[in-house]
Amino acid sequence: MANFVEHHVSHLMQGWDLIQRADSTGRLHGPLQSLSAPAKIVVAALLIVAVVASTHVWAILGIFVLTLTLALLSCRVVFDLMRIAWLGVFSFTGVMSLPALFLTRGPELLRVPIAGWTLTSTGLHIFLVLLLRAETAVTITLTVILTTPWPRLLAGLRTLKVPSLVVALIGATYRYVILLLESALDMMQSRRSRLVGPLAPRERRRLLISTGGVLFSKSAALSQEVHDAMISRGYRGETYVLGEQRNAPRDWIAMAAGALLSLAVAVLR
Amino acid sequence: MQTPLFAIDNVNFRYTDGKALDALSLTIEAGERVALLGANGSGKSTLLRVLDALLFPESGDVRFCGELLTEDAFSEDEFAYAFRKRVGFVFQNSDAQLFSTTVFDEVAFGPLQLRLGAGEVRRRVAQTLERFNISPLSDRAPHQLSGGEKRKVALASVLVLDPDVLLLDEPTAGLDPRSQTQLMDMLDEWQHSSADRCAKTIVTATHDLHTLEDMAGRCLVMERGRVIASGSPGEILSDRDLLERGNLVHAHRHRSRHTHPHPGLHRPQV
Ligand SMILES: Nc1ncnc2c1ncn2[C@@H]1O[C@H](COP(=O)(O)OP(=O)(O)OP(=O)(O)O)[C@@H](O)[C@H]1O
Ligand SMILES: [Mg+2]
Repeated sequence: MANFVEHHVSHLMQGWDLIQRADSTGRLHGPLQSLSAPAKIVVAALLIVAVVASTHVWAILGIFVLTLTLALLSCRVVFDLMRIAWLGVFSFTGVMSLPALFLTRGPELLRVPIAGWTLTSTGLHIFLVLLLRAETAVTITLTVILTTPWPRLLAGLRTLKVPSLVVALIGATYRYVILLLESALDMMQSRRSRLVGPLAPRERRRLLISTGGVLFSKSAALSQEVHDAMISRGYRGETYVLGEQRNAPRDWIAMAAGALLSLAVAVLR
Repeated sequence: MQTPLFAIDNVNFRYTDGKALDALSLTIEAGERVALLGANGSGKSTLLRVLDALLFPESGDVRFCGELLTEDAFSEDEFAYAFRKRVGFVFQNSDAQLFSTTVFDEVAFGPLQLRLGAGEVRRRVAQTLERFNISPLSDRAPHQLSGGEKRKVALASVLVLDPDVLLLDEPTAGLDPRSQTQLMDMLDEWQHSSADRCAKTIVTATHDLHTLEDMAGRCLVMERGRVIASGSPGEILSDRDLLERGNLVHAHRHRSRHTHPHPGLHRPQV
């Protein structure tokens, strides 16, 4: 608890950093940035489905390495950002699928001395597949996000006939998160500049609670204001978006390659 | 006599506690440039929101060109679109006003909502960005802009619809002198672009006495939700008592122990 406030802040910072970078890495010139957003979304969706359907460790690993290579070729910094995500996924999926290691029957590999659990090769296989699937899916998703400017991504979803309400909702969430992060960071910074010396744990708790409360009412007021600003410019509950990007030949090639690859992964046993 | 553009009659409004507008009556004629002055919390922003039909009074009438502004009236698409097209509002807080992911989309929002065709929207947005010298910002995310740039984009996103009436909430607050000048230039450019200059009406809430004479032909001084004085900028600026009462100037106590006000040099404490 003692370091909770700082922990909180550093998470906010990481999230903020990610959003900022996603905006700028998407505008670099790299192999993936040159593809249209709809093409990338389609390929990513196909690959994720294939990966989730596959039980072939090497096939999934192959997709993982391929995605990572393309992502690194498109921009270097993705590695730092992905590491954060990989760790998160590892601790979540890892823990969730840990029982599979021991509860699955099959050829025995190892016996845990005191508990009397046995590690089977089938269990190990299942564990690896579950973990790899999750890590690969996250890597694919992040790669698309980090190589596409945010508005392009939203427009890409529209092109793919995702309902405008859903896209508007995603856009609004993004906006809201940004406003929330901005006011959080502002508050933290102004508070930090006023703090002298470390705080007692009890003080910290109080601070955290009040920060959360203020942040909430602040962002509620702000979203009311955003809503007013939209109404004032003619918003009546329906969003209209400008039509988007056409696919170039290389986008079609990418989609065809993605489809073939996905099919190969899905049928490989 | 001509129908006034806005006619407010005996309007009361409260948020939760205390009256934000207290039996307020006033009229604004088409083509007027009106400044709303007054201390923090005197009700300027609330009045602008009532004029933009974002808030509806608990009692009293608000009329625009003779037509009552009520929630019922705004449930009709045709009326709402016509009003939103004619009246633009630039908010005090640019962060709230800028909600799109790029400057281009931000400026395109209004025209798209008013259902102009895609080609027309692109043309208008490009033209507006060009006109106000913000084309280089086109692909940037609004949250990455400086305060002055944000304000310019906010203004452009309203002017793109070429409204007849512009409601401005502290447009120059927090801007450096150069950005202030640029903002005023944008407003001039918009006003002069219209064939009939008198057709454009501006209502500005402001603390900035420097730009008062540029911005307004008539000033209304507000206090606790009421108008306590009105007059030309010259008359208001020469009334020291009034300015002090409206918290628009500080009286400074110097070591020599005589007190003298500095009009316009300070904004009231925020
Ligand atoms: N969203 C709100 N909820 C509750 N009370 C509010 C709200 N907005 C304003 N008020 C109150 O209404 C009164 C008038 O506020 P308003 O924002 O109109 O003042 P203002 O003249 O614009 O002040 P400023 O110069 O600080 O912008 C104030 O007493 C304020 O506390
Ligand atoms: Mg105000």
